[in-house]
Amino acid sequence: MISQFFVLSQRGDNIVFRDYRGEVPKGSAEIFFRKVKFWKEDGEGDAPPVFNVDGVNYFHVKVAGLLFVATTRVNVSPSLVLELLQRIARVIKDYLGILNEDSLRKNFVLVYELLDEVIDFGYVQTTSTEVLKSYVFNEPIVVDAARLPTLGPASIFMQGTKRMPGTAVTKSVVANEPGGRKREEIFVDIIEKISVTFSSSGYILTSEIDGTIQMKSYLTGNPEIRLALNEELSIGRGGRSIYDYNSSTGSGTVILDDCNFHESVHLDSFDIDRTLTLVPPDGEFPVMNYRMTQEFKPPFRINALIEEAGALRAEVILKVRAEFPSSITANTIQVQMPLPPYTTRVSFELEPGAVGNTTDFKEANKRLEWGLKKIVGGSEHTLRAKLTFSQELHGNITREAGPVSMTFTIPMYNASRLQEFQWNPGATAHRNVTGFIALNLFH
Amino acid sequence: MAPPAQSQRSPSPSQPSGKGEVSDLKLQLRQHAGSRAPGADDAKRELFKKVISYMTIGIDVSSLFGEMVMCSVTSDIVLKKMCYLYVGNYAKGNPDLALLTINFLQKDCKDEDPMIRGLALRSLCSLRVANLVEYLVGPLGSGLKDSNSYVRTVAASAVLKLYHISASTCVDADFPAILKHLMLNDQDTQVVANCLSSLQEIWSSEASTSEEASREREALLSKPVIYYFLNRIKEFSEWAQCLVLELVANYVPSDNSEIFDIMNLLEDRLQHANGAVVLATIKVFLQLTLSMADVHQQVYERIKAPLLTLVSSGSQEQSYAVLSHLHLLVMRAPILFSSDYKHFYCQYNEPSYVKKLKLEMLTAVANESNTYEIVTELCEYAANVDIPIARESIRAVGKIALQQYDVNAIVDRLLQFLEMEKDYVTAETLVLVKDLLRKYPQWSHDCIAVVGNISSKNVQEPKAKAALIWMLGEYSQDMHDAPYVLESVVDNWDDEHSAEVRLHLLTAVLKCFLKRPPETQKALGAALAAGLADFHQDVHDRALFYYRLLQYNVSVAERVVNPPKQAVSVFADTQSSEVKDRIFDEFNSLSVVYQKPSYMFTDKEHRGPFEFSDELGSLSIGADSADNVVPAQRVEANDKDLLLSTSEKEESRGATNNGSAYNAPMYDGTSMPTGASQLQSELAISNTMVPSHSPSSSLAVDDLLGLGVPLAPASPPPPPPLKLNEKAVLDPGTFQQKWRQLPISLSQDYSMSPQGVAALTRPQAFLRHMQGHSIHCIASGGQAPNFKFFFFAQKAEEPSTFLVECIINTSSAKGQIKIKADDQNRSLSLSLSAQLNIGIPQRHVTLQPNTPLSINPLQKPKPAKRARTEEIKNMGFVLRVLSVAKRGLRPRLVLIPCRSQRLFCDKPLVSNPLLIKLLQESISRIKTVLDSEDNFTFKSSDFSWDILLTTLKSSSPAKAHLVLEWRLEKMVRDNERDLVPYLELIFLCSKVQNVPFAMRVFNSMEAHGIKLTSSVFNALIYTCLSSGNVMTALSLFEIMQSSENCKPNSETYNTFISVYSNLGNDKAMQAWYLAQKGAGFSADLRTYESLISGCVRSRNFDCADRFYEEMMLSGIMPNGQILENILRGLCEQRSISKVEQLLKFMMDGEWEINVSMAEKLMGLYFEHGTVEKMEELLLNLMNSNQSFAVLQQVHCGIIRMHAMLDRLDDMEYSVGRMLKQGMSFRCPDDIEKVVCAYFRREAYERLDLFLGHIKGSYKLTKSTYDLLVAGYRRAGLSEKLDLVMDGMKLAGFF
Repeated sequence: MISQFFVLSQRGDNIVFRDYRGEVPKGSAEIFFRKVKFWKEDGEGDAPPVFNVDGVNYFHVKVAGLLFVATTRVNVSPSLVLELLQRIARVIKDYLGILNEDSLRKNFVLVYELLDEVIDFGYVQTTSTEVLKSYVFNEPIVVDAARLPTLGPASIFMQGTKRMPGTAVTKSVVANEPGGRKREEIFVDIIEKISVTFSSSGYILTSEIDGTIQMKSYLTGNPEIRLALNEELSIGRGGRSIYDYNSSTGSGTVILDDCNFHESVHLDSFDIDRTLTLVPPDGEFPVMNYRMTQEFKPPFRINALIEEAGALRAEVILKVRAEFPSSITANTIQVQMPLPPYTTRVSFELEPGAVGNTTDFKEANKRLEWGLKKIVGGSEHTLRAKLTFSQELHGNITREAGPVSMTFTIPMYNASRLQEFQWNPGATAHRNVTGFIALNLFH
Repeated sequence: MAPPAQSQRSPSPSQPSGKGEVSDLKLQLRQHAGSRAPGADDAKRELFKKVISYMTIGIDVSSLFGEMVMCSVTSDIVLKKMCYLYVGNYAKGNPDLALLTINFLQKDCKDEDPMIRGLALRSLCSLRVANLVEYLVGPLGSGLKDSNSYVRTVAASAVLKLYHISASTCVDADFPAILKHLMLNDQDTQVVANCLSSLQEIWSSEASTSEEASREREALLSKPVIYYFLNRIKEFSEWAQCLVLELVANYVPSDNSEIFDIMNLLEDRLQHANGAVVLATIKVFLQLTLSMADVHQQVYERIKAPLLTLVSSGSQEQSYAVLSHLHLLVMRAPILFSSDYKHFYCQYNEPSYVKKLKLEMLTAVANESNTYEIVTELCEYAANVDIPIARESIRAVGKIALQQYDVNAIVDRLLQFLEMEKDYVTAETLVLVKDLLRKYPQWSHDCIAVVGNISSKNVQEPKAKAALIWMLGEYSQDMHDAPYVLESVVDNWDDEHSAEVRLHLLTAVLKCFLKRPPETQKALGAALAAGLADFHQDVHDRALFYYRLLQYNVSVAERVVNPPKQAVSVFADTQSSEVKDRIFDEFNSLSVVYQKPSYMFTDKEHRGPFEFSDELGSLSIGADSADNVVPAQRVEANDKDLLLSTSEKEESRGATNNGSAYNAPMYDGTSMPTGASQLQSELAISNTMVPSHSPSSSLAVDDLLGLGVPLAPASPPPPPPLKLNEKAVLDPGTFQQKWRQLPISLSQDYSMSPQGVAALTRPQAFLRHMQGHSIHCIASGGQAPNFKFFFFAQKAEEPSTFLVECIINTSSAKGQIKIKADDQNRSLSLSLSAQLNIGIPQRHVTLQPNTPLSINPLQKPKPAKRARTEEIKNMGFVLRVLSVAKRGLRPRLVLIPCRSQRLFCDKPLVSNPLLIKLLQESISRIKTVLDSEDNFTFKSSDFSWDILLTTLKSSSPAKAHLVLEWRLEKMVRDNERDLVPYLELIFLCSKVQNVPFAMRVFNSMEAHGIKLTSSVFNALIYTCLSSGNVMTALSLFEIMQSSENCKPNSETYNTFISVYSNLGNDKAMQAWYLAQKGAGFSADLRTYESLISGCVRSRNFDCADRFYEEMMLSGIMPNGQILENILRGLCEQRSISKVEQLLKFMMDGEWEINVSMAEKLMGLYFEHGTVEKMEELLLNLMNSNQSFAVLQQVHCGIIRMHAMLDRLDDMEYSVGRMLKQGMSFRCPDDIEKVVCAYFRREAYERLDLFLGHIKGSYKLTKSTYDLLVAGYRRAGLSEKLDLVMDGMKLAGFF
């Protein structure tokens, strides 16, 4: 059971603070914040999501730069509390449309109202946006999305977020549209995190896809939705890995190592025709999480080359090739690469005629960043970066740079070939695939 | 509806200007208080919002209480909610003003709108004001009966709130009973869930004082209640499911089929997207199967995939929580995860707390097959930007090296680290190289060459510097400039700040001097001089010691400082297995994340409802003076170690006691059970035997602790070593304070005899017993099976006090004593512990029919003194064995490869008409069937009870039991007098793990007057051990020791040794081996077989080799099993030369080489890549007429080898040779290797030829076809593809 719940801003201000059981002494928010802030100084990196100070257990998750914290004195299940904190953040986001410090401050009374129903005397009651709707009476004060810095794919590299934020869906589930009309819409995002390790000769050493089918429904009347997955889908790898030479566009068996489902999903016909049936509750939720280590063709191939050019200089050449059909275009691509710590200056050189490219060297964390607005299937793009070092090189420079990682969004494409089609008469469906590739190149 | 707050003066609610603002608000609130004007609500909302935002950021707005209450008369629900929030926050501090709110809240509790009724009820009970409770009872009572489920949900948790304000009000109003009714009958699952959580809390805290409450709490775990919850589990919300699952994890099913039912029911919970649900389910699975080793292992396999999915989905924080649990499982059973190592690779953007866990897992799962890849990966991290992680990675590499896997390659890697020239990398590596050399001195040559190149100036970290200096000293003869390097370090003595380095320097210089005197003399002189002048005590003393040693005699100095060193075989483990087991028991809790058991980080009062320690926490105190102190302590909750709660019963009893400041509890005899006198006598008897007055007994304890005090000669017992004050006085406050301050001076674990356990069912008797020894109880508590007592004692004529904590678990018959003393003298604590001694397994135990083990004090005359010393000596030994054996008590993974446990087996292996008949018949008819069965069936040679029973047990344990029963009845009917059938029956019991029945057989043997022999006991012990009941086995062993005719024989020890060998607990196994030797039995073939296989199983190859040598020396010829194990060990150690020797020995002795040996050999050769050896082996084997399967194995191995190296010609030759000898491939794996080789070389024609060749002798499997399809598809050979497809169709794979 939970004793207190609070949300802190990045600077450590209480935005909401709710004490459910009165067991934890005053000042816990300050104790917590101090501990998290100075954790690094003890040389241990980031504060873990759970720690204990004087018999009080502090749990926290970071969402949109805010700290969602719970405290307890009891030996509870850490998964339960962390899951709950994440879920509270999601419920709040469902209500406010956009979750950030500004929107939270404007709507703190609404948040209190939610918290009253989510937890009672430390025990979780419900975290379903749908159920909560009947108990909550405040109207959200909507924050204008346009004024906000966009949470582009780059935000994936922000500490504490492993996952892309749900893409364009920044509308409140409960607020009325301007004009009083409500559009019948449903958003389905397939978010795939692709991790690939190449050997120095270009072979794929390890590859894994961690995917989520995320849904946000604005449909009225709770209609039933059916999601048809790839028919040749099998779950669990019984045998050893077999060669798989199919291209990503062709059809073939997709083998998921494992997957799990949201509780609203009915799997009655799943074994027969690979169809998920569900009545989507209001708000955002993951329909299905899956994991795949079957070989697949990554949508991009990245080459990184580092060449020493004298004692204090080196050149990095990054090449990105889109390995999907030219009918498809990828958006908001961001490539990043950590450089050796003694790098002082970087100058960039793009291909002649390149448009929509941004390049940057982040001095603070010694990172090269390359952004591309769009990449058409089949095309190739190159970036040259000249590095200047503050000390002479010794040893292997390639060991100290990298790995390269990239994020992107490709509408109507997914690497795992876990296709899904939804069937719902009379509703607009949005479908999007967001990917994130981490490549370790220098093995 | 609510307008955006633009027109306010303060720009941001986070920056209030303080007091002025508050008084301003007060004014405004007053203005609006009575206003009913339109728009007034909106204005109020704005004001309320401001108040609450101040409240949030910690500004005290309690002065507005009155105004807020006045404004709250409204129908606007948003306003109401804000007001409730405010009131809930400040009521506790303003109890008088809170009274103002009661009125309107009570009114709201009767509102038409269920929403308002619920909200009001919730707020009413959240006020936390004790003097308002009388107003709560009425609304709460009607709330529980409300027709609306929302109100009932609120009311169910409101009861708990009331309980926390005033427990007595809550209980008096009979709310728990109403909750229980609701829990079992309400339609709404959230109501049910809230009732459950409220009741758990209420009953747990009531249980200490009320027997009824503790019964109720137990009842939550009863079968009907658990099933009620389980059957509805899918209706519950995901959070309530967690609650239910947590409850189920504590449930103890009555038999295995129930366990499987529960697991089947819950299996789909493993696919839930909520990690908390999955982990709670996993806990249930793990707890339920603890006693079934193989199913437990299957659970691990089953939960692996869901756990990995959870780790990779969800936020970083969520995946950390899951990863911590995965970490725990990996650490418990690394072998089961060894093929999943890639999941534990670190990713660049992961936080360091995740990386740390992953590194530990990678280290744990490393084995011979994956070490290369893991170490390669770890080496990548060594260049990581994150320096702490880089360091961890290097340490991980070292740990793997110390685990004996592929040391060869790792040493090279480590040495490469030294070439990276990064300070921290070098530092970490040096420390590792040092440890490595201590374990594998054979590597010194390679390491020293590299280490010698490191300049000591580049090494600054003390640990690393110390390591470098140690190596310089230890290997000074091999390092050319060691003396000069050391000299230069000595020259900078004053700049060396770390005492550790200076100590090492002294030793190293002396070592170097002893090896190379002329070169080091100068350095030694300088070092000793500097050392003598050193301000650090240890450094100074060591320098002085060396100086005098050298003065005395240089050759003695050599012997002291430079003795030949033995390689270290095992480095100490940091965490005890008890602690690890405790953490495992607390799966799905913070204990797992913190990697410590909960008692190390939670206060007792905040532990969960069913935790072991919680029950210990509820103590009662019997002190009349304590009633003022104690409740305060309870409310303050500031105490870390003790919770002394007052039970009213005890109080009133204490009051009649006497007027002294404090006295130990007195119990009136009327409360004693009728059997009290008997109990008393038992205790009195154990008194004489429990070594309370004998000095030698405390020596036995000394002996147990390995203090090595010689046994006192038999002499009349001197007075007790520790005289205690009979009328000692200590008040609870002081006790508590002392307990917190003093360190533990002694902590001991005990195993108790069954009668000791029985006595504890009435703790009062136990307490009286203690008091008889002037050890006073200050607090006690707990219910079965867990009890906890706090005692104190004072030394007579001295103010020195002893404080004792005694924890007893009656179900496991184990106890733990912690002693803290004013006087830190350990021996005093020891003798006190001897006096305390509550029930070390007793020696005079005989088995009696119809009763379990019990003491029979009257039959045994007092033993003579000599015998007694002997006995005590014996006991020390038994305890030692026990303490070693205890570590093996918990079922570990990788358990007995149980021949008898075929629980998941679907088809009976032998079809037997009787068996089939039995399987079909109903339980009630089993005996009739057996009766009717012809006697010939049982006598025929191919009939086996063994197989019949094991198969029967897998489908129905009850039937197996009946069959056993039938046999016993038959034997009794036939008036069987022969020992053998009974023995056989007991052995059958071991097959089906039915210990109670074995005991029954034993009883009926006694009843028939059959003479008992050691082998009967051996059989019983074997049965107990194979059912995992170690305690009973040990008790039996003790009985044997004390008996006349049934002394333990060699066989007895062999039984223990072989069981521990199977358990992979080589320490306990070796302890038993030593015990066997000590008892004067020499080891036989079976002993060695168990010992060697046990050592090999626990990867203790050195020991295995030692035992093998010992066996050969004693003239026992090995058997095939032993040779196989030795071979396995050698192969795992990769010592190819020893393998060759052994092989030669086997060939010469014409031993048979079996398939698994051949497999091991091929694996070894394969790794070394030596085809020649394989060919040689093949030749040898062919000459010695080995079996067909073995030859086939070797053939396939050779082919595989060639295939892997793409040597098509050699491969084809080998295939041809094999086929010519009439053998074919064994498994699809080999064929696939060959096919892959062809594909890689794009030799499609040759592939066709190959396939044509083997077609006659081998049928391709589906996976091979798949491979072919994939290969041809890639190569674009559509014709061949079609052919393969046709082939598949023909083979029936479509």
